Amino acid sequence: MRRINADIVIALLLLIGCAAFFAETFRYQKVNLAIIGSKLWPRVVVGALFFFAVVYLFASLRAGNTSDTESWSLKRWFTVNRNVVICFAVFGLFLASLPYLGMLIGGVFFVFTILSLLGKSDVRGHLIHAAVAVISVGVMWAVFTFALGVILPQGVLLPRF
Amino acid sequence: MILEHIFQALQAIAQPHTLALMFVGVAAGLIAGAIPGFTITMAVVLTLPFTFGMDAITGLATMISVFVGGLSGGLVASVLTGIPGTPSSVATTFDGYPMTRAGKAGLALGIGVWSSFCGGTIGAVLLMTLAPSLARIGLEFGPWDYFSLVLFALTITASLAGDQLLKGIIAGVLGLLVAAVGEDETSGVARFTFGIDTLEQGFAFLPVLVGLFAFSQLLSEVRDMVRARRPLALGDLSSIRIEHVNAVKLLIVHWSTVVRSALIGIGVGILPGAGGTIANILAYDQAKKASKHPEKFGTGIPEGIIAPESSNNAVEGGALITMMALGIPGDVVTAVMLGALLIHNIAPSPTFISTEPVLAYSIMVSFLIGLFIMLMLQAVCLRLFIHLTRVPIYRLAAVIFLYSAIGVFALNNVVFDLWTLFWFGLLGYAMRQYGFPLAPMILGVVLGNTAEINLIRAIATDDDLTLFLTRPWSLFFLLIAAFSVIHPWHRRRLTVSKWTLFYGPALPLALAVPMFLMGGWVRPAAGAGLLILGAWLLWRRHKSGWALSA
Repeated sequence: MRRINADIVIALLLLIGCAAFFAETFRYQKVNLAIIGSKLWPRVVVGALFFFAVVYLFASLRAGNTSDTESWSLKRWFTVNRNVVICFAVFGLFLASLPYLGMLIGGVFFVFTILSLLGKSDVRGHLIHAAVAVISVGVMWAVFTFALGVILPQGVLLPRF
Repeated sequence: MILEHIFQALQAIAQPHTLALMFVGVAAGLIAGAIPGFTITMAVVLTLPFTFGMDAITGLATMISVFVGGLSGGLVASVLTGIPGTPSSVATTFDGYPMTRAGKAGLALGIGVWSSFCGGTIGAVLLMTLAPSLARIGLEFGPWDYFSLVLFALTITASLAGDQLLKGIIAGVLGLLVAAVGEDETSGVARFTFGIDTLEQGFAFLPVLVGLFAFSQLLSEVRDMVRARRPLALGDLSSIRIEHVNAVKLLIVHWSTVVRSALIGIGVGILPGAGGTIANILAYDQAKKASKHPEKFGTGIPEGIIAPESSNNAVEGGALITMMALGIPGDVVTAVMLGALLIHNIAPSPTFISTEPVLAYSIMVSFLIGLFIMLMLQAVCLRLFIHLTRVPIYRLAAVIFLYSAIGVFALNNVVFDLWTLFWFGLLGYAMRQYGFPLAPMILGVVLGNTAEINLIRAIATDDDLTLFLTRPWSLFFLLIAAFSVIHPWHRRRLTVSKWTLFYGPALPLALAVPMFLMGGWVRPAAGAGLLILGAWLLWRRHKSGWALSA
């Protein structure tokens, strides 16, 4: 049996996405005044995506399993993408904690955590990471807050500026 | 009239705070360009949030300064380490690094800096002279022509992905889909929101762009642990001095290489989607072909640095011509600038130069002034740039992650934009990993609205769809779009299939048709020239017995 490669999976995901987006066009509010419906352009785009996704699927099926010589395993994938997963996970946590910690404290924690997880984890390294995190985030926060007048998320721990 | 506008633009730019920001911009660009992996586009994208609080002229002047600095910063890494600082300085390594190993790093840097300056200046001068003329042609465009122009921009950008053409087209269509999310501009109907209220406003341009491009790029850089922790191995380069006098003398000797390469750069820049990445290789290749001693290329000769550096700096002049005259970005950087203009409620179109002359000429003038600033900073701050490139990548990446988040938030003060950044960062990274080029998607996001508005206008004016084929400019763009789609197949089958022999002659023959339809005498004359060219190419194929190239 033919093994499924990444391209086939992506093509199938695109087709599923096309179906979902096409179905969504039926939910649009009807506006009587419009000469041309709001559905036209979205359907043109979804139609084009569908067409190319089908071509991509057939091309992937024809090409077969040329690139994936080793079987996929979660452990191997995680080993290769460890840093990427860390960055996304920590960034997601940073965003989730933003209403509580705010941009300044949350930002310092974010930069320090990323630096500590990606860099060397000795005492000197941690000290450098802490200094980099505090100075870089502090400076940028001050520039945006005081110089550019942007009100960054303040969280609940710090007093309002 | 033009001189008057240039003078007004000079007055607008020559404000102390604008010039100070331009110095900072060029310095930031030089640093970003000098760090391999941190592309110029990323630097320009990250500059965008800082420009929100500025007026349009100052903001764009700052962004252009970053760009000018970035192009030249790539030179430092290419010459000193042999690792291209940016994709647009790949060819600079071919002869720049051998010169450094031969103990001529100062001369190599001098040649690079002055070639960048000359190429950029030629680009800026042509920008000032060509953009108004092209804009006049743009005034002839109707909605049919504009829609076809957008299609052409997307297909040619996708075709530059070579073997990944299909993925490039899919990426472009995905960009159009992203741009379609949110309220319809004409009727106010919410589209593709899936019941999520926050999506009614659509995706803001900046978080999408930063996520797709900068975020995914940073993630790719830190993916490998060893590489992420390693600073650039620059060694002891503290004694290097740029040899300006010798470099200028060499440039005078090789002036034809400078001019030819700059013209190649401008030509590539005018094409939507093509940028410095292509121009520097193309110019290097042409310089080698035109040289009396091609065998010396790659051993550390001045022409090998002059060609790529002149061309990659001239590219932006070309890209700005297309953006300012037609409202179509020539590359991702000009797409970002287009976004910046839209944030300031200014939409470039053929009337842009006539309705906003001071702003338009300010863009051109700041490009030129940026080159002078680059020249000064390269001479004074070289050692500082070398020191900064010794910082390990992961430290820069962590800080830039947060800077991008702060910058994105500053756009609308909405946390939803940060989540947009997160999800598009994920999408961009996945696309990179699976070979989907990002440039067509970004162009799709930027041009989606233009495409829709012009399609609707075209159909509302006349529901006859054949107008897309019978209007000369529309036909012209559709023909080039079709040929650009076929091009990757043509290149792949060049030595195998007989039909590839007809590709070259068919292009001028086909393009002659809309030229004849345009009327007047200049364009039909150009059409006649194209017919002759096509016939001559066919005759050459016939003479060679329809033999496939080896």
